[in-house]
Amino acid sequence: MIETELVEALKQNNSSAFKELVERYQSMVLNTCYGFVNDSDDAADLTQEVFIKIYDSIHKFRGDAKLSTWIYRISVNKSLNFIRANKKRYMFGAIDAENNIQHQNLMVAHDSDSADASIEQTERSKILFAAINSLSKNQQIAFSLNKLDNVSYNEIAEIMNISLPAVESLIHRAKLNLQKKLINYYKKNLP
Amino acid sequence: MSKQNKMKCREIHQNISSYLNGSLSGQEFENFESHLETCTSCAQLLANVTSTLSSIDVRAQLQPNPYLYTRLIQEIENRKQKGWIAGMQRILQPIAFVAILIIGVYLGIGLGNNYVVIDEEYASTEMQNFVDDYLFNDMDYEPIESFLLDK
Repeated sequence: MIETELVEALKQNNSSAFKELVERYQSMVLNTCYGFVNDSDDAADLTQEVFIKIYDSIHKFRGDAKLSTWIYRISVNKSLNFIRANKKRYMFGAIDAENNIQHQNLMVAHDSDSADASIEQTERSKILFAAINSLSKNQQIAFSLNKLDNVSYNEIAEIMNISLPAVESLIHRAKLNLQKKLINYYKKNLP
Repeated sequence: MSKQNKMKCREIHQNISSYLNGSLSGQEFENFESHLETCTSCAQLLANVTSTLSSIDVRAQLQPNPYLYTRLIQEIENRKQKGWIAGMQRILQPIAFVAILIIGVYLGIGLGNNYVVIDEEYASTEMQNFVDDYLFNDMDYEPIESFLLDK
């Protein structure tokens, strides 16, 4: 089904159209959410919420942007709301370089997908995500979508409703800020 | 660590970002790299920062749950049922409230009427006695008339 037909069928509450929507976009939604929350179980729950939201709100979709853009927006908003609601888990300030227990407080119990990664890789990943979550909202969105979900700059501009140069600027500043945060973080750990 | 080395380390820390982004000039770049050769803590710092940043690149994509569609349909059905119950509650609750109010008012009026009848009877007897004893019996106040009555 082409996109316009799919949207029309969804607006008619066509269940096979909804099934096709889920099959087409579930990987994209799951990995977008995962890019923000860095936890497979939370990402799976958020994916479900995103599709419920799509089901409830498809009648509001006007078709002035691509369906994927609209779905990205919902995924990003749901993920950011989730992070806001669970602020303590995502605080970069909660990482104490001298206290290893603080490291373990970051999403340890739920990180089922890191079984194969080395402990060091897991810890680095947690530190990186805490740093990403401490960026300003727009920098976080632009950086996560581009670096973690491989979304193009053009599509990010559509999703965020900003210009292409603005996207480039956000990603550049996000990169610099991340480097600064990590430098300051590891400086505290210097022997 | 000597004071000179400490200062150099401070400069290195400030230039790590520029080094990573390739924006150091030729001489600055050489100074930076020669410092790293002699300073293990700065070398370790740089290694930590670059390893952490590159953990993005080794990140695996998650595979979606094959039963997601089934779970979604189930969730939508559950919400529809809850919605029906909530809808009925929204209609029945105000009706029940109004009915209780009306019943309460009628009961109140009914009970109130009974007490008024009893009270009125009691009040009329009481009043009569009061009237008889105090209001229109002038004998205590006009004893001079009593002699007329005694005759």
